[in-house]
Amino acid sequence: MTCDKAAEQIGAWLDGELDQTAAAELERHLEGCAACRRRIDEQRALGRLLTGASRFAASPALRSRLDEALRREKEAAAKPVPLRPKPWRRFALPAASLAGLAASLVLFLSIPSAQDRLADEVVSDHLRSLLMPEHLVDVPSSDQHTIKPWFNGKLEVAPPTPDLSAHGFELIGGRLDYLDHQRSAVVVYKHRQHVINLFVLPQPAGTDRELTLVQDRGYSVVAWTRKGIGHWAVSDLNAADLRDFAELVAAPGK
Amino acid sequence: MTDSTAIQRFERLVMPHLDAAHNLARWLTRDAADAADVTQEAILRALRFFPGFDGGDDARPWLLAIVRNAGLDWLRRNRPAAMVGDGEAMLDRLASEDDDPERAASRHDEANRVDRAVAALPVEFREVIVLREFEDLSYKDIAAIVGIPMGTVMSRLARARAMLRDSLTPSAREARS
Repeated sequence: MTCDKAAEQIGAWLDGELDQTAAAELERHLEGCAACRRRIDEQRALGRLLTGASRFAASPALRSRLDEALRREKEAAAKPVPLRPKPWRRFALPAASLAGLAASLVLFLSIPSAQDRLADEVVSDHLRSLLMPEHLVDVPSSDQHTIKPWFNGKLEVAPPTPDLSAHGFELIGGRLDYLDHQRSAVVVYKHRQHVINLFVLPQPAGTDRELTLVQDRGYSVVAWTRKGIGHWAVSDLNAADLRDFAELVAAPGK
Repeated sequence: MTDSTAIQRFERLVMPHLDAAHNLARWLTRDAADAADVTQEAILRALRFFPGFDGGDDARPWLLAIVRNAGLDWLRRNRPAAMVGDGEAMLDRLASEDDDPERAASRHDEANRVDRAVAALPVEFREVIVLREFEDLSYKDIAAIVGIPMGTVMSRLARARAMLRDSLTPSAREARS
């Protein structure tokens, strides 16, 4: 055995991770090699030094944030969520002017696709934004003319930022987040006390689709892709209200 | 959907390893705030993947694998330079840590010297040192977490330890050369 080979194995030998054959071979070498025997002492000395390195326990703040997240997850899990969401048409339309639009939007419920799998990530991002309120918005504003330019140059696409206050959806700001390993625009609205995160991310050509509802861990996600731009609206709002929101954002001309 | 029984099981099996998760995240990112973000992201991911966990009663290696992936994802996104073996780049940041007054006060003591040496290792060497020396995991667990063969765990650890010996005990280096 060469000293280089021995040097590579001494650590594993001291860790008790060398198999018997290799250990026996190493031990024979060590008997005849004082330089390698010195390395055993060096290795042990390093091990002692490393026991003095810092250990970084989770802070009480992080711990309580996570406990809170788990508590919410348990609550959400305890809520009765229908296995098969009810057809949309059973929900009252919010305004007569939307009736024609609603008729043109076909909802395909719970058909898994690559985009739906992103819904899971959208829900996690949504949870995180609620857990860390300081991260909810990078640009706090109720003015679409402040938020829209803020995204300029940061992303390939300009997200929709319609003023929906007349419908009870209040614009509260925008931020950058990550979705599918890419930077994504997020426009944030509030409806009563419920936060709605609207994620906007370019999608591959040919993947356009109409509004789709996905429910995940008690949260609702309405996703749609139009002209190659994917949208995911996520909230703990009830599915009907979130659908109304999505239809308003998706409405042509907005 | 994760039901409430599964969440209780998660709290019992996974949450006891929160400190280990945070410690790994901290050594990967070398920053207190970033480590908290990575740990939180990893716990949420773990909760999502928990229905697929079948590792018996010891969830620690499983959780650390998720932390490790979340940490590396985070570095790729936010500190791409840290992924190519920078060494010195973030040492000043580590040295100026102020989240723990005691640590700040004993900046020049032995522990801090050791911290700096470990923090200076390129990430692929740093992670095996943290998993072996601080978390006391077997080579088999480390191989699974990092996604490399056990023989590579051995050689990578040997190189990482040689780097640490060289930076911590210069006399050892001279004696060999």
